[in-house]
Amino acid sequence: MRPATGKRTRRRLTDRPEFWGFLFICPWLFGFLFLTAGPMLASLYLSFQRYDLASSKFVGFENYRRLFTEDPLFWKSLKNTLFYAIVTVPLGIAGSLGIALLLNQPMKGQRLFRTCFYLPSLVPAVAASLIWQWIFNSDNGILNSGLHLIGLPGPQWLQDERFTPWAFVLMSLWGVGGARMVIFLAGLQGISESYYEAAKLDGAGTWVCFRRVTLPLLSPVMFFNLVLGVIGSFQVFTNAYVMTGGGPNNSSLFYALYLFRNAFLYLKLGKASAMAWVLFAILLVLTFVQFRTSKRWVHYEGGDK
Amino acid sequence: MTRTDLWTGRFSRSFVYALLIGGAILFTVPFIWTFATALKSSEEFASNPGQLIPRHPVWSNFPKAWTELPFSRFMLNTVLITATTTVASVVSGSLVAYGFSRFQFRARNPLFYMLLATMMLPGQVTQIPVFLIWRQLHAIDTYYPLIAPAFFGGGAFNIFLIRQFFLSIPKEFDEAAMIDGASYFAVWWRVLLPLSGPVLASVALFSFLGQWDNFEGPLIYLNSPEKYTVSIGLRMFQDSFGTNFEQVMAASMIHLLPTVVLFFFAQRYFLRGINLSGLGGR
Amino acid sequence: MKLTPNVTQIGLASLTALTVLGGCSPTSTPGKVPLRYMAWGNPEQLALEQRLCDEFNAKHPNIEVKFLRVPGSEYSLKMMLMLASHSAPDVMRVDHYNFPSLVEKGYFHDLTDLAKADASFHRSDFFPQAIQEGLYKGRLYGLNVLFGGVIIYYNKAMFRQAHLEDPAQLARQGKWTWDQFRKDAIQMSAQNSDGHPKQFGFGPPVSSATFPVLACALWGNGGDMLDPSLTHAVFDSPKAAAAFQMLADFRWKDHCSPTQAQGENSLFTFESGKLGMVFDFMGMTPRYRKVIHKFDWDVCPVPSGPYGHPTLCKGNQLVMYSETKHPQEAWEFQRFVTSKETEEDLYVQRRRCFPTRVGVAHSKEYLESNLPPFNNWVFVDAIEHSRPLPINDRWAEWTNEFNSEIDNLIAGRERDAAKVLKRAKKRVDKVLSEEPGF
Repeated sequence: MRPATGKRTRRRLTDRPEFWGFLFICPWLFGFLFLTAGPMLASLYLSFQRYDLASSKFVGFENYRRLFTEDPLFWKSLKNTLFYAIVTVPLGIAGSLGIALLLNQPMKGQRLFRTCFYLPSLVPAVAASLIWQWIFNSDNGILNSGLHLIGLPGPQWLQDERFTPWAFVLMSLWGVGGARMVIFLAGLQGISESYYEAAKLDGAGTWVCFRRVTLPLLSPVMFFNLVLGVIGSFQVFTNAYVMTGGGPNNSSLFYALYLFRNAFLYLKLGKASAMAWVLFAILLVLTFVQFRTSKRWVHYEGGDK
Repeated sequence: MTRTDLWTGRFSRSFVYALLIGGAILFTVPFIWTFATALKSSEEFASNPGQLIPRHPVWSNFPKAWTELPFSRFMLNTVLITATTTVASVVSGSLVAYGFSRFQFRARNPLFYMLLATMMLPGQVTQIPVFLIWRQLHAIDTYYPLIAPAFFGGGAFNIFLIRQFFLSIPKEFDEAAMIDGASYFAVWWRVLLPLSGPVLASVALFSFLGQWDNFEGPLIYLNSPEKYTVSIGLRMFQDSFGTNFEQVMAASMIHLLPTVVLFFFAQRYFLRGINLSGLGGR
Repeated sequence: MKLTPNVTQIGLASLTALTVLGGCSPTSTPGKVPLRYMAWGNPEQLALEQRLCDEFNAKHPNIEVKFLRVPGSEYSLKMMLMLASHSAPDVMRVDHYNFPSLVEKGYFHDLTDLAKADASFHRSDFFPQAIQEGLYKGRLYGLNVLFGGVIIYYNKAMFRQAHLEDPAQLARQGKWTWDQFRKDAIQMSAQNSDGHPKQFGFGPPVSSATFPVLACALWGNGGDMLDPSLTHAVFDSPKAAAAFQMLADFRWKDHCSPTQAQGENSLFTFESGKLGMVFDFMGMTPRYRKVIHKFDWDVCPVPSGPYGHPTLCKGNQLVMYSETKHPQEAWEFQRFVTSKETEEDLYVQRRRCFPTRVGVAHSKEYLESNLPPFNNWVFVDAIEHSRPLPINDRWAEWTNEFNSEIDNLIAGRERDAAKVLKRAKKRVDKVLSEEPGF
């Protein structure tokens, strides 16, 4: 891959690109081996234990068996999380990309607009959950007042189990101006003007430019947002923990929330570890599939061809 | 400078502005509400929590929240921790990403998948073992557990993000520099970093905000009040026997304001954009 | 990029500063016994506890107590991590909800012998309920603090406007019954001209939504939650079902209590003047004194049913870590925080909560207050008629099952209490019969 620069055929260690590649990833590798790998293995070990902080006992696959066969809440939380992921990931990516495209236009007050859209991501969770409860208030919250204006009946967002999942979807949409949007924006900034000029010379319009130039060149970033979006949506936790505690009727009991409950409320750390590894396996498969299919649509200018 | 032209014609121009203004209002509501509540007296909040505009703004909520807990100290601590982790994660993250994106070595792909895998296991189950490690190192009640991860690449998110950008920079650039005699290190510093302004700035922003808002880490690892951060101070106002919302909101504003100001002004650096064409990209 | 040199400088500078500020490990004064004490609370409460530590340190030159303050919302998470890593503080405050499950795991030091050896510690000084909460299988593990029984705070102005008799007076005459309570609550509820509710007769407590009202209604009607051995649910009895039905009807038939949706966002709180009555612990009084200026208010006992007016009591326990190296000094500190002088200062002078000592509660200084509430006898009456909640080591788990089912009734998705309770019993019994730890 690299043009041979060495004078000798048998190169010293420091002449080899492999050595340098390995050296550069060392900071991460060091942190991984000392801080991450051990605890991950420990939790895998714990998932085969009945462990309640004070005592532990090896139980084989019993934690897993009970999860799959005897725990309806496990399935319920998995279902809730799956719904959340399926709805919010595409919506979130489309929304973030849309806002990024708008905010990438040269215009008056660009910085102010960008700040406004980013604001929800800056509000501390403590304040944000209060605000959301206010918005969702079924009697006189902002949301239902708005719906009444256009003649729609406002549901009880946080009390009616048919609507709680959608309430959390709405909340997630408030974050579309956040990190994902900034990443798209950074991606858009990286696209050279010359590509557009070339396309325009060929007579391409706005839409064709977007399809032929923007999307392909943005695909590495899009891929990043997709992979991270899936992982993040499967671990959604804070809002439900603060606002509904999983209710009503466990309709907002997300996987990570149920896991947290088992770990730190019921002190069933063996079961919680088993849940964590089930989620790990799910995400591993999903990510693997995404990487495999990415070869078809992700375009790396500087990648290995 | 004309970027992708969404605006051809007056109609679409006003349409874009309408969209932006509508969206901006929608997205600013939480901020305004936080601010408005922070200006209410506890009596006014109690009798009419829904009223958006306070009838008698009480500016003293801010100095009260600031002095009720040692917020000056908390702020200093937070700024120091955040500055360190931000710088460290940009530097170490881009180094690691360089290693993962520009070199071929045997263990590269397995290691990269392992890096991604660290994001997939919910943190709650590794909390206790990680805590035990830091305890073994006698690092409880110090800032090491909070800042050390930033020196180890700053997490999979940052590394993966920078890698994606490095992969979209044509390799001809590095090769040209290497022909001119640049070392690998120099390629990273002189070629890739300058070309990655937006993404490095984004990573800096995310590291900054992540640490600024980090509540669990300081909660778990710090014991001495004089080492606490603003995010812990913020939670101190919550109380099972009736929270003083106006106080929480005032403290939230104190917590939030530096980040808003930073975002507003730092955009210039990180969303300015770069022109690859000047460097000979097709 | 241009900013790189600055960035490096900033990084180096902050690194140096960090090492100075946070790198140093906690040191203690040589020659002194170091003790660590951990608690949560709002800034006022924490300031008071810090003062207690300072006073203790001044009086005991050989001991140095360091006070760790933790935000209440995440206190138990931090405590679990510290316990799991064998690094918990010598003395901790624990919410009674967590107390039995943690004693069970052997995390707390048995105080029985320390108490016996302490000539100044007499169990008879305390309310039996206060001692009871700190016991586990007959041994003493915790000293009670921030203790109290459930009472009703009532808005005197709203009672006057509705031409109702003072409930505290009624209680003294033995006429303050659930029937009377219901009539008064309906009388005080009113709507605005647009059909939106304006005010309600009573509302749920701030601190913990379900149990305070529930337990009073349940016990007053002769029902109970669990059997005495705390191994299975008995809340599906007809007497218990009648109490649950009454509570659900307050909301959905009589419309004298806000629904969850209406009560969201502190729209109907006692301090807003839109609730005639609210059930809660004495811990709310400092807040109410601070924020209520527009109407006069006081406290009265909970209404009585066919089985009297039992209420529930709950406190926090001051516990000693089982691995402490200085049990004698820790005990001294525990005793100081719960001493008569401290109780007189915190509960009589500052009127923050209820004392655990019979003598202090019955003293003239406690009963006669020049700050609201004035009916302080109500707090004493409540404790003397109080029972503990059936908190066992699976409390968190079974109440979660219970609440998620009862929520259907309280939120009005189902109206038949008996049916809901039957299902709840099944779920709770299943939890209680399971092997712990799975």
